[in-house]
Amino acid sequence: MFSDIKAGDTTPTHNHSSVRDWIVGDACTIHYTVMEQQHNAQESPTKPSEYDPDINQDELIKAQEKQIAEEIKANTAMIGSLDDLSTLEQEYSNDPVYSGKVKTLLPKYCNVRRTRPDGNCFLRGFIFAYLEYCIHHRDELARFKKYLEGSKEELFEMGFPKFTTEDFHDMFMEVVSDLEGSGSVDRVEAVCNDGGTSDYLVVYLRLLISSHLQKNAEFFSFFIEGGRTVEEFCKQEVEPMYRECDHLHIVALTAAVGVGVRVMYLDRGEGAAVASHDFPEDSTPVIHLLYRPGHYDILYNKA
Amino acid sequence: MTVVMSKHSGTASARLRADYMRIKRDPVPYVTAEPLPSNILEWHYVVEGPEESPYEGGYYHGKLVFPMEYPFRPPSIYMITPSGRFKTNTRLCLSISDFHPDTWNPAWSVATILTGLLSFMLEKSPTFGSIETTDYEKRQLSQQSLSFNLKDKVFTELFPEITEAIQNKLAQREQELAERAKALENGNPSERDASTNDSRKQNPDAAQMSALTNLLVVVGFAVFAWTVRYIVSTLSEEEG
Repeated sequence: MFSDIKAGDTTPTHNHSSVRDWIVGDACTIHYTVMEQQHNAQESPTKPSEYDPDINQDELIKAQEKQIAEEIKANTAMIGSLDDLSTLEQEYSNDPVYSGKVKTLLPKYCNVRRTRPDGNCFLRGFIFAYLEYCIHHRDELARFKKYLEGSKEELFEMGFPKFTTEDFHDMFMEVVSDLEGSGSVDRVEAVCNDGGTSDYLVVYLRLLISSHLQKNAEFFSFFIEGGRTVEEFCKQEVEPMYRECDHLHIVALTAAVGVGVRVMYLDRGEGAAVASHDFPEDSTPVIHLLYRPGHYDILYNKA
Repeated sequence: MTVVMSKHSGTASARLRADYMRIKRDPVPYVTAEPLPSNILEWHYVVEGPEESPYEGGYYHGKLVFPMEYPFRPPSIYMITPSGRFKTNTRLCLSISDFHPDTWNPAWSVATILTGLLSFMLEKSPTFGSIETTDYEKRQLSQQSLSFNLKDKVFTELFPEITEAIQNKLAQREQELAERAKALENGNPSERDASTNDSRKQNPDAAQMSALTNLLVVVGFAVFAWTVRYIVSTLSEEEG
């Protein structure tokens, strides 16, 4: 569940260009994460070394996960402050591969904003970066508002529960309307760091992704591993909170909302440069995100 | 921070209040639910055993305990009244409960949870917190559930209407017993016959069932005898 912080550098490299390759890579990430979690659970000091049938093992794992989640919550803001990109360089001062790659980012990017690694990092990063972009591009904010208005009926048509879907939708509409009036980056920061509000926005994006995947199920079914249907995939990997976003999620979200995203992949992959990928392909990105295995942060380009 | 939006404050209690309004307007069949007046994060529910199930006539009291992060994390689900289906006062492991936070969907509501609980109760599939009993045991527990719940103070306070319905049912049951006892004293042979069997007295359904079974056996035997006679006669005709 908190794979953001656990998936280490053993994740496969991302030097692929087709969607299918991305998916293969991500399935490994998921698998690795699960193994890692089990491994961690075994090492837990609260867990006896021998199997004890009287103790509910699930409970122990759950308690540990909760503890990790609490620690992350206490130590990391959902959307962090605007940091200089050199802070990233410092982070990897002892790591020649990473620091070499970060250096190649410096000519293009100037700042980084870190997000909370709770499995919602991509979505929170997307929401913040996009709303911030909208503050400076009012016509885009108007377009987005119109899209949001229409999206509710689409979700109802796809069979999402009316009462709760409406609740998440209304919250998003209120945030957008509020930004139309007194929009400022500070305001966006406050909204995105307010627990209730931020989580509501995240859920609504999850519903939009799920709806887009299910509407185009025939196409997306080719990219889903493990013999699951698109609907099952959505129930297990998209709609629940704290589930990490993979390439399918990003493909679906950027296509549904019509917003271009560039992801820079910082990992141990071959080559000195940082691989990048634009979603949807051939789009002009308005949001730049930094991917490190299992986690997304927001990047600011110099232009 | 003045981020709080007009009608959506984005907290668990705001959402639970909305869930409550919703459930009052659009009730879940067979289920009544009420939050504690002192704590909206703890809800109590009563499932009325649906017709044609082993729970028919029973009242099953339980509770939902919501986390502060609701609806982003699921509640714990407990059953308090013995049902023969679930352990009592134990967190139940359902896809809609906090045993499975990774399959919980924030778009689900209290209504979804209660509907899911009811359908799981009517199934037989095992899970953590479930127990296995025969239908007969379940029917006995459904009879006993009435007086069991009346002893629970939270139950009687939160569900006065159901409490009254139960009291009426129990009074009726008592009256029937008294009448039967009276008839017995008067030496009514048919009543005496019915009350000789203890289990029949406790469970009129079971008595009906066994009478029906007896009848079926007699009819079945008659049909069998008739068939044998028919075959024998046909055979002898052919031979002749």
